[in-house]
Amino acid sequence: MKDITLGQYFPGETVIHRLDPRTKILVMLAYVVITFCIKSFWGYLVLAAFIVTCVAMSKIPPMFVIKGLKTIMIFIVITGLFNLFLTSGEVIWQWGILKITREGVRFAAFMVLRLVFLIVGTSLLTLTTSPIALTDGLERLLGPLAKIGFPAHELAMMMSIALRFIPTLMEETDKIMKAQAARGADFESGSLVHRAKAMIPILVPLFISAFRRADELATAMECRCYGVTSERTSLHRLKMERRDAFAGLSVIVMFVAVILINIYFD
Amino acid sequence: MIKLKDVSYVYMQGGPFEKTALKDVNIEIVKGEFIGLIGHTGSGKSTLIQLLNGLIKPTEGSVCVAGYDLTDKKTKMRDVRFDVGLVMQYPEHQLFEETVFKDIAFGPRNMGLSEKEVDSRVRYAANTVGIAPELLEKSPFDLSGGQKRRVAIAGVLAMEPKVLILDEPTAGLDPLGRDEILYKIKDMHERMELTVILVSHSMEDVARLADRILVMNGGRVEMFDVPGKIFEQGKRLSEIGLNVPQITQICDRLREAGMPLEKGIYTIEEAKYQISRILNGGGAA
Amino acid sequence: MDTIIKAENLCFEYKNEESGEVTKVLKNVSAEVKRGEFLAILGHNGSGKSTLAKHINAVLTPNSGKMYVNGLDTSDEGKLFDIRKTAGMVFQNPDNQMVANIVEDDVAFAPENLGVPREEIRRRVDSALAAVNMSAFAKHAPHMLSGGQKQRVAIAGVLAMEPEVIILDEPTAMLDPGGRQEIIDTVRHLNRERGITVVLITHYMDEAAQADRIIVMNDGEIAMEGTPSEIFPQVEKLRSLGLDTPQATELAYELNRDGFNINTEVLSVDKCAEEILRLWSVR
Repeated sequence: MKDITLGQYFPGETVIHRLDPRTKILVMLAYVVITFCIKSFWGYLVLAAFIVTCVAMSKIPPMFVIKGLKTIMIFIVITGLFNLFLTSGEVIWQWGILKITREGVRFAAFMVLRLVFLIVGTSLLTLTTSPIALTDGLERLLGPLAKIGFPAHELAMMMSIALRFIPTLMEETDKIMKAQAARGADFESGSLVHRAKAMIPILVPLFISAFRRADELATAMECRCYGVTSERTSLHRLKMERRDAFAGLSVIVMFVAVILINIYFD
Repeated sequence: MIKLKDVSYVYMQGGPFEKTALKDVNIEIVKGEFIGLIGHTGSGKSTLIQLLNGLIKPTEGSVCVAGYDLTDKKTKMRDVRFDVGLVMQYPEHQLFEETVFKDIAFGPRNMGLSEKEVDSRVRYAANTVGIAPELLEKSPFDLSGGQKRRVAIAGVLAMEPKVLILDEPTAGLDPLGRDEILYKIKDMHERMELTVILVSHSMEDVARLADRILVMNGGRVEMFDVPGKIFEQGKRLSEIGLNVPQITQICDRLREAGMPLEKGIYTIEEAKYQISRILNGGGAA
Repeated sequence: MDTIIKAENLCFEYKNEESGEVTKVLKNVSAEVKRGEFLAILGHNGSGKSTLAKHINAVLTPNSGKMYVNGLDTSDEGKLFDIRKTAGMVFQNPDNQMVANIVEDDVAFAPENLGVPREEIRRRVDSALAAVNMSAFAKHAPHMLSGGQKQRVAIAGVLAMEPEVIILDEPTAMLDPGGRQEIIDTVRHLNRERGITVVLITHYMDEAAQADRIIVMNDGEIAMEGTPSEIFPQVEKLRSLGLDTPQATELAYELNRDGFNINTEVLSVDKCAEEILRLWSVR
C-alpha cells in the first residue's frame, strides 16, 4: 500500500522543484492538451523527450515515477483492450466474435500512450511540487474567480488536506486489513459479490476513522486560528522568474513541434 | 508450541528501500508460557508477531506455530490464524458490526462454526473480558474506550486460539484500564491454558506478568530469559533504549553504594523485603 | 507571579440527544494557574480533565461559571482568536493535527491564518522548529517522522503563534518511551527556558512528577491539588481515584508503613536511593 506514489511529494531543490507552482500547473494543462492533440507517434517521441528531460532535471529516481503507473495499470490495460477489440475497421485478426482491426491497434496504442503520458506528467507535477505550493498556485490562478463567489481558497485547502491524509489512510487500510485477516476474513477467494461483501469489515472502520480524524483535524485547525481573517498570508512567495519564462517557452516550442508533426506526418 | 529457526525478514527486497527487519532469529516457546516481548520502535517486534500469525512470510528460515509449518506452501494461512490469535495495536479501530455480539462473532463465523457454537463462544469470550451480557446487543460504537478494546480482544478470543498475541493492549489507557486489561489477560492465560505473547513498552507490566522476557534490538534477539536475569542487565537495557523499572534502578543504585542486595530485583514487594531485612540488621538474603 | 488562567465555578454538562440524559462533566471547578507555572492534570478516563483543558482555549465554553485566560473571558466570542493565540493546544494524536505535507509548511499554518507578514512567518517557523529541536527536519514529510518527532512538530505549530500558555492533552499517550521522553524534555525546556506556562494532561505519573503543581480530577471535581511531593505519597488515596504512584514513591511509602523513618516525599530514583542509604548509614 505504501508503494503508491501518485500524489506524493518528493522533496528536492532542483530547477523543476523551484519553478513557480502556477507555471507548473499551466505547463501541465498545456501538456495535457498536447497529449490529446498528438496524431502521430513522432509526436509522442517529442513528448517523451520533453518528459524524460523534466524527470532527469528533477533528479527523482525514474523508478519512483514509473511506480505511479503500477497503481492504475489495470485501468490502462482495460482501456487498451476495449479499444483493441471494439474499434471497427479493417480486420487483421479474428477468433470467434473477437476481432482486432488495424484501426483498433492504432487506437489502443494511442489510448495507452496518452494515459501513460498523463500519469507520468501528473506524477511529476505532484512529486516536484509540495501540495501546499500546488494549492497556493491553484488558489492564485483561481483567485480572480473568488470575486464571483467561487470558493478558490476552500477548494485549495480541501485538496491539500486530502493529499496530506492519503499516506495516513493508506497505512490505516493496511492495518485494518491485517487485523481482519487475523480474524479469518477472506478477501481473495469467492464470487464478486462475496468479495464485495468481504470489503465491509475494512470500509466501515476506515470510514469511521476518517470521520474521527476529520473531526479532530477541524478542532486542531480552529485552535490554530484558521478562519480568523480572510487576509491569509503565506510562507511561500510566489514570484515568476527567468526559469518560469523558459518553462513556458519550451512548452510553446513543443506545441508548435507537435502541430507541425501532425501536419507533415499524418 | 512456537519454534523459529534462523528466521530473517527483509522488507521490499531488491527495491531501493530494502530494509532488514529480522536477522537470524531463533526462538522456542513451550505451550502455556507467558512471554513478554519488548523492544523499541523499529526493533523488529511488530515484524516478528506478524510472522507468527502468517500475515507475512519469512525471507529465510522456518517458522512453526501451533503444529503448523508456516513456511510450507501447503499450509492454509486461514487455519493458522484461527489457532494463533493476534490482537493488533488499538484493536478497537477494527470494530465494524452493528452489535457487539456480531462483531465478536465475526471470527467464529469465518471459521464456519454452527450458530449454536458461535453463540456460546461469543458469550464465553465476552464474559472472559468482562463485557456484560446486556452490552452484547448494543452498538460497539456506543461503548467507552476501554470497553471497545475489550470487545475487540473478545473478538479474537472467541476463535479459541492456542496462542494469543497482543500488541500493546494497554496503549493509551489510564492506570485503572491498564491494570484491568492486564489482569484479564493473566486470567485468560491461566483459565484457558493459553500461550500468550504480550508486546509492551512497559517493563513494569511485563515484569509483573511474564514467565520469560524476549528483548529485541535491531532485528535480533538481544535477550530471552526469566525477568530476574533480564533486569540484572540494566545497563545493557538502557543502552538499547529501553527503560528499566524504577525499582530495579533504585536497587542497582543501592547495590553500587554497597548494600548487599540481590541482582535483578523488579518488584516492589521483593525490594521492600530485601531492604527491610538489611535495615533491620539482617545480612544478605 | 500573577495569574494567567482562572476558572471560577466552572460547570459543563451535555445532553444525550437520544435518551435525553444529562451528563455533568464538570461540577463547580475553580482553579488558577500562575504565569510561568508547569501544571499537570491527572485523573482517570472520564474524570473531566480533558474537558477542563478544552475550556482553557475556548474549544468548549462553560454552561455556567467563568474561565479567564490572560483576563479574557472565554465565553466572549469576540475574543475567541485572542484567546486561542494566547493559549495553544496540542492534542493526543499527532497525525490528526497536521495540515500540511511538509514540516515547515505545517508550522507556518497558524501564523498564515493570523495574517502575519512573510518575513515574520519565516522567523517564527525557524525559531519554533529550533525550540523543539526539529530544524533539521524542516523540509520532511510528516508521515516519514516518528511519533515523537511528529508531536514535536505539532508543538512547534502551536509555538509559531507565540502563545503564553501551551495546553497538552495527553500528548504522549500514543508514543513509545523514547518519544515520551522527547516530548517531556521539550515541554520542560519551553517552560524553563522560554517561560511558557504549561498545562499537561497525562496518565503517566512520572511525567506529572516533573511538574510544579498537580491537580487530580475525579468525577468532574478537583479531588487533590498540590506539589508532586505532596500528592504522590498519598498512595492509598491515589489508588482509590484509579491512579498509581511512581515506584520510587511507592517503595518509600511501603517502607515507611513498615515503621522505617523514611521520608515519603521522594519522587525520583536518586532521591529514593539517597533516603534508603541515609537510613542504612545511621543504622
